[in-house]
Parts: sequence; C-alpha cells; structure tokens
Amino acid sequence: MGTVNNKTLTVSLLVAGLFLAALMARSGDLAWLALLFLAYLGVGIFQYPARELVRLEAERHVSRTNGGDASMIEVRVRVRNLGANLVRVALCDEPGEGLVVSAGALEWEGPLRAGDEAQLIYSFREKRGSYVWKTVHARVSDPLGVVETEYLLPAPGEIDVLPEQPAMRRLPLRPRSTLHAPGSIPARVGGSGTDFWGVREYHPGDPLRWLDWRLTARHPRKFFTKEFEQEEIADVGLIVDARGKTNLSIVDPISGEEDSLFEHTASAAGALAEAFLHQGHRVSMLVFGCEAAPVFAGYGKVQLNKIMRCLANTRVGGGGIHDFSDYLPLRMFSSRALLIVISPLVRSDRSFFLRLRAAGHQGLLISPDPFDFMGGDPAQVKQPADGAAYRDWRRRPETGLAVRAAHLERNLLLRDISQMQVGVIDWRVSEPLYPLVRAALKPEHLRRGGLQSRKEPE
Amino acid sequence: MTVKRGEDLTPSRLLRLACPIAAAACLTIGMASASPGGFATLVFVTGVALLSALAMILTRRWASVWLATIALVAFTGLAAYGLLAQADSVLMLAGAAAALAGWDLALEETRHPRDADSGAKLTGEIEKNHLRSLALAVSIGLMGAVVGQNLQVRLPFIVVALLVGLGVWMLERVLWEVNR
Repeated sequence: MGTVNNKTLTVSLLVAGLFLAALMARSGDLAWLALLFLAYLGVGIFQYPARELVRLEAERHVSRTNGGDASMIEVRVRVRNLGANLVRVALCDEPGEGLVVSAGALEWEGPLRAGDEAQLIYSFREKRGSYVWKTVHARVSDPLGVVETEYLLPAPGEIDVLPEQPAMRRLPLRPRSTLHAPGSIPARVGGSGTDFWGVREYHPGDPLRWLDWRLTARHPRKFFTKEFEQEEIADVGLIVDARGKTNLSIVDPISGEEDSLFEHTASAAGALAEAFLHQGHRVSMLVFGCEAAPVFAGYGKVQLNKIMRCLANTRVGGGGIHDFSDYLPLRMFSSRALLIVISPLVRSDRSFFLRLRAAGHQGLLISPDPFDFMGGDPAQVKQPADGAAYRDWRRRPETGLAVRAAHLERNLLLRDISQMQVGVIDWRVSEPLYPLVRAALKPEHLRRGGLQSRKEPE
Repeated sequence: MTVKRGEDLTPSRLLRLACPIAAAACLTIGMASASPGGFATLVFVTGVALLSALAMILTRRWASVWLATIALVAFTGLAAYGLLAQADSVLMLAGAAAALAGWDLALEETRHPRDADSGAKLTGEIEKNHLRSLALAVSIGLMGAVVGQNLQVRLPFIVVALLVGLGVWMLERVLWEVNR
C-alpha cells in the first residue's frame, strides 16, 4: 500500500499554507512560491514506479556456519527485481524472537535495476529454539522518497536449533515390566530369545529344532520344547521440568551470553531420548512449564525428531496450572512405563513422586544441581577465604550460610524421594551424566531406589 | 561542524552544508536590499535565518527530523514575508529553494547515515539518484516560480480563490490516490 510519509505531509501543508496566505494577502507572488514545493511533490510522484511494474521476488537461505568458538546461523535473503524499471528499495528483515544478530545487517537500501538482486546477510549465534521466517519487508519509493509502498515478499525459511546432546553409550536398562514387542531387554517370560529359560510340553506348531530330545527320550509318550527368555523393549517416559521457578540463568559478564539450568535439563532429556530410541525402546515425553507439551509414545528416528523439536520449542515459564506437578497428566504414560523425571525440584514436588509411585510407575529422578550450575562446589562454601574462585555471594558469611541451608534442604528432599523407591540422581551439571545414569539404571538400584551422586572430595 | 575527521566530503554532504547557508544568505541579502521594517527587522530576520541554517546543519548530529522541518517552515515564512515586503523576489525564491533542498538532504542523511553498513558504492548510487531528482525538482520549481512572478496576469479575486481551491482539492486527490 502506498503511504504518505512525513516528507509529503510537510510539503503539502506548506503548499496549502502558502496558497491560503496568498489568498488572504491577495498576493500572486506567494502562490508562485508554492509552485516550488508543488514541483518537488510532482517530481516525486511522477518518478514513483507504477505498482504493476514493480515485481520483486525474494528467496531465503538459512544455513549453519562455524564462527570460531561457537556455531552460527547465517541467513541470506536475496531480493531480485523482475520488473523492467529501476526501483529504489529498502529491505528489512526481522530476526527470530530473542535473537541478537552478531554480524551483518538486517536492513539494506539502494537502487535495484531490472534483473539485479540485493542481498541481506546476517548471522547469529546458535541458541536452542525453532526459528521460522515467512516474509521480508520491502519498501519501494521514488528517488526523493515522497511516495513509499510497503511490500511483504514471501521468503519462507526455518531452522531448528536442537539442544546440545552429550554422547551417551548404551544404557543397561532393566525395567520391571516391558512391552510385548521384540527388543533387547530380557523380559522374564519364556518365548523366542537367546538365553535358556526353561522346558515345557510340546505344543503343535513349536519349531522342531527347539525340541528337548534328552527329556523327550526320558518320557517316551511326550514331547518337550525348550523355551528361551523373551527379549522385549522398554517403555520409557521422560518428564521434563521447564517451570520458571526451578530455572536459574546466568549472564556471562564478558561475552554477554546467557546460560540457564534448563539448557542442561533439555540436553539431558535429548541425550536420554536418543540413547533409548537408538536401543529400540518406546519413548514418550512430557514437558511442563508455560504449558504441558506432550510427545506421545513412539519409536525410531521420527520419534527422536519429534522429541528434539519439542525440546527446541520449549520456553521456560509458568504460573498456570502446569506450575504444579500435582496436575501432571500421568495417564499419558502407560502403567508399564519407566518414568524419568528431569527436574531441579522444589519442595512442593515431593507429592508428585508419591502420586507417581501410587500409580504403580517405576521412577527415576535426575535432578540438575543448581548450586553446581551457579559455579562452585557447595561443600566448600564453608571455607569462604579459600581461593578466588568463589563468587561474591558465596564469600559473604550470611549468604554462605543461606546456601548451605538450601543445599541441606535439597539433600533432604532428594533423600526423601529416594526412600519412595524412586532412583535419584543428584547431577552436577558440570560433570557427565552418563556414568550416573548407567549406575542408577542397574536393576538393583532401579528396584530399590537410592541416591546416586558424585562422591564428595575428602 | 558536523563533518567528522576522516569522512568523505561527498557532493550530497557538501550540498547539505551549503544549502542552509545559501538560503540564509539569500534571504538576508534580499531583505537587506528591501529593508522593509528597518534595522531591527533586518537583525531579527538575519537571526532567524542563521538559527534556521544552524538547526538544519545540526539535524544529523541530533538525528531530529523535526529540527529540519521547523527550519524549513521558518525559511519559507521568511521568504513569504520578503515577497510580501517587496524584497528581491529572485533572492527570496532562491532562498526558499535552497532551504527545500537543504531540508530534503538533511532528512535523507538522517534516513541513511553514511556509516551504515550498506557499502559506499551503493550509498553513492542512492545519492546520485537522489541528487538528480532533487536538482530536477528544484530547477523546475524555481524556473516556474520565477517565470510566473514575471507574468502579469490580472484575475478577479473570485477566480483566484477558485483556482486555489481547485489546487488544494487536486493536491488532496493526488495524496488520496497515492494512499489508496
């Protein structure tokens, strides 16, 4: 749509004012003075390209590049003039929400001849999220900038920046119950497998190569078939805490980058989902924060893609009903599912684990340690004068005591949850998660529950 | 001055500085030649012209479009006053034309600062196009106004009023059409 800008309005008002003054003063000279401004407007309007002659086409290309110490995302928007006329174009693109452009420009202005193309190139540092662009703004004007027309050129593009996933090797999962689908977990049920399970009487249809000839020889009128332990898949449910009240953020004073505890939570969830799906298990996920975002149970790469996209799109927040873990829809998980809860926890979350156990689920809690995330070892807070690594808030005796109290409270809560026969991992986010998960998923730990954490240094 | 050390003095920048000074000079000289209200009026007119020129020049530093617009209105007012006071009409028209050009260039520079990351070559092309159109507009307007002032056409007041009304209506229609 063409728009009358401030320039046109000012000149028009001057013209009108001069005409009126000329009329009131009965002076032809003033009327002729207005001609100067009318000519300015006229040249602008005359040189403005007709709307049907303006043909612009835009194309967007989004790619990942390696920008030194961090991965960057580069956006290139090409706008081509397919019309026959020279036009003056101002291009303006909008970066995704919360993105800070680190190189390049979001605006460009210049003349565009027929067949020429202009490019907007900018890049930003990778940050977890899903970014979608639909259009690019183009403003076409005459050389004087008197008349301007705004175009929204379709230039679709999207990119998902998935959470970082630490590599995880095979996880020795041995849940209490499995799904009846061929997999890799011994299911404590006789059937087709590799490990010997037992012998039973022959049923018509059993393969002859499974006949137990020795036993059959001892009982002349009967046949016996060997049974093997059936290997099935596990059903794993991930519950990811994206509540604002459990999240912590730190802004690096040097680089200005923000790191949040939820990024570690998302990374852990992504890594676990990938490991379990890679082993052939069925995985579902529920993220609760601003809203509950479920990913219903599924298998394979498609499911991994769904889970990763969900994690990429998750925004930390809350305040609604999903702020209370008591209202989480546990029914979306099957009763056979092993539920892995990844949450830094607050005191009121205790009741959720009671509910989880009451529903008959087997549970494992992975709790990212907020104290470790804030930098420093909470065990050493009691020695504030030791070294320069402590932050100011740790140095002060009053905050040091508060940290110790909060840490004790957290330890008590974790211990309390572990006594509900829920496996608990107290995860210091600066350390790898894999060894802790591997230890916690051992059958004896998973069945009895217990607290897994790094050994405190002597 | 607004020109920073190490910056190129492009034609556009040179004109942006020269036009307000030229406008102030034309209007002051024109008024001085007519001296309509004595010395006090001349001092007042000179003061207003110089302040307007200064405001137009400092538009870029303060990135204020309004400053340049107020200066343009002041210049136009002075030119109109000069024309009514029988000052030299060519100087008055030239002053108004220079003020218009200065205002346009000041607005253009606030819209596209030189240090924008768009490349000097492209900025140069924009400038060239813009200056060409501005020169065309100012020269047509100035020539038309000068020629028109020398034409002696006597029209009854009612016809002039109708013509002015028609002009305003046509202007409104053009703007409406552009908006549509």
